[in-house]
Amino acid sequence: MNNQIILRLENISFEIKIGKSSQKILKDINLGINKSEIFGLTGESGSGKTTLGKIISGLEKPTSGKKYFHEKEFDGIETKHKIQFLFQNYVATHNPLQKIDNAFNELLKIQKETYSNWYKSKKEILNLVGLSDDVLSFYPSQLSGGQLQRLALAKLLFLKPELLILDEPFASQDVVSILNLIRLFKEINQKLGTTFLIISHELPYLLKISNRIGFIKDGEIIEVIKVDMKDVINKSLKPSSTYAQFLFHSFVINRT
Amino acid sequence: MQKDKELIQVLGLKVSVKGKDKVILNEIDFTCNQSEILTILGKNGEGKTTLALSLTKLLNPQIYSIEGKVYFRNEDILNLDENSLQKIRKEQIGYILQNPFSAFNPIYKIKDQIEELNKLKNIPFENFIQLMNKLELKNHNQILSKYPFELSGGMLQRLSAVRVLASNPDLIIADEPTSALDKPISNQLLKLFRDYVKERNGALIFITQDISIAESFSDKIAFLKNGNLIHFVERENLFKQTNLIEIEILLNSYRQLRL
Repeated sequence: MNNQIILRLENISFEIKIGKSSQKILKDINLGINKSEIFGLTGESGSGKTTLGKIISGLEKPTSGKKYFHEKEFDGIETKHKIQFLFQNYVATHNPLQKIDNAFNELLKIQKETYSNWYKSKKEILNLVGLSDDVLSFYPSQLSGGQLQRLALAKLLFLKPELLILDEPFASQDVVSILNLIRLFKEINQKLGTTFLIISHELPYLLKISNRIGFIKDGEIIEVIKVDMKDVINKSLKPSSTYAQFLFHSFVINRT
Repeated sequence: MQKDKELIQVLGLKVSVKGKDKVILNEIDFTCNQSEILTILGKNGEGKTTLALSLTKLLNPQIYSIEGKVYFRNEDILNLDENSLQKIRKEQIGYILQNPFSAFNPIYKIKDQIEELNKLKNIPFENFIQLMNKLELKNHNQILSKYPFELSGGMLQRLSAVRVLASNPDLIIADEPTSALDKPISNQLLKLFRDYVKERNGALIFITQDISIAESFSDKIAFLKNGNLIHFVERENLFKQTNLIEIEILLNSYRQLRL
C-alpha cells in the first residue's frame, strides 16, 4: 500500500443550532486517509461519526474547515461520483416500484463514462458482491435485507468510486453474514483498489478489517491507531488514550 | 437460598397462525430455574420475539393459537383467564420488549408512567434514580419530564430496563434489551441483571442474537432455529463440538470475529 493521501480534513467543525443555543457536533477534526486503505471510525452513539462521514461525502456542509481530495480542495459536488456513501438504512435507497435492471440503467445515464460492455459490467459487479444477475428482473421487495445491502453496494460500485463510506454496515446482522461482508469488503479493496471508510460502533469487527482505526468522542478524534493483526489475536492491542483503552476493554469477553 | 428451584417450565409449546398451515414455534421445551440466566440465541426471523410473547399469552389470540404448557411456579399459566394473567405480568413476570418506542405510553410523560408504577407496587422513587444513575441517565429531572418520542431509542431501552428492574419481579423476560446500546452501557446493564438474579434470587430469560452476551453472561444457552430449540448447552460447554452443522458455522464465525 502506498501512502498517497486521498482525503485530508483540516480543522473541520460542525455546529447545529437548537433554538438560540448552538451545539458543537464536530470540533476541529484533522485527519488524513491513505489511498487504498481501509480506515475504521468508531465511537459511541452521538459521538459525531456519521456526521463526519456525511461531511466527507458532501451530504452535510461543515461550519468551518477545509476538505482536500487528492490534495485539491473540494466542496462535495465535484467529487460526487468519486466519493460514495452507503447509508445505514440501505433498504430505503431502493425505489420499490422500479425493477432492479431499470435502476442500473438509470445509473448509466448519470455515469457519463461509457462502459464498453454494459451487460457484462452489470453482471460482473453483481457477481462481485455475491448476487446473481437474475436479480435484475426482480423488484426490491423480492430480495432479503442482506441482498438489498449488497445491491446498494453494487449500485455504488457501478459509479467507480475511489472512496466508499459505509455507515454501520454490520448493524443487526448475524455473525455469519458479518464475516462474509468483511471478506467482501476486503476483496473489493484488493481487486478495485477502492479506499474504505467504515463507520461502526462494533470495534471487534473493525479490528478484523481495518488498516487503521480512529476513535471519536464528543466530536473529537481522540486517537488513530494502526492495526497489527498480531495484537488483535493476542488481545494485546494497546491504544495510548484512556478512551480508546476503555472502549477496547468493553469488548473483551469478561466471564462474570 | 433456594437454588435450582424450577421457576418456569415450558412443555411442548407450539404457536401457529390460525387458519393457515404456518407453524412459528414447534415443540418448545425448556426450564429456567431460580437464580439462573437462560439465553435464547437465534438469528433474525427464527421466532425469538414470538417465543418471548407467547410465554404469558401476549400474542393476539385472533391471529395466533398457542398450544402446550407453561408452568410458572407449578401453575399452568396458559390456562388462566386474562385477568389472572395480567396480575402475573404486573407482579411476577416483568417484560423488556424489543421495540423501546412501544414500551411507553406515547401520551404521558415518563415521570407520570413511573409514578403510576410507584403507586401500584409501592416502589420508592429513589430506586429508580439509583438505577438511572447506574445506566448513565444522570439528568433525571430533564429525562423524566419528557414524552417518550423526545428520547432516543437507547434512552428508552434503558428506561424500560430501569422500570422492570425497579419493580423487582420474580422473572424477567428481556427481548434484545441491549440492541440500541453502546457496549460500555450494555455491559453495565448486564451487570444490573446479574445483580438482580443473584440478590433477588430471580431469574432471567434473555433473548438475543449477540453470542458474546451469551458467552460472557448466561448460565444456560438454547439455540432457536426456524421455530425449534435445536441445541441446549451450559455456558462452559458453549464451544464443545456438536453434530449440528448450522451451530458449528455460527460459532466458528463468532470465534473469528470476537476479541
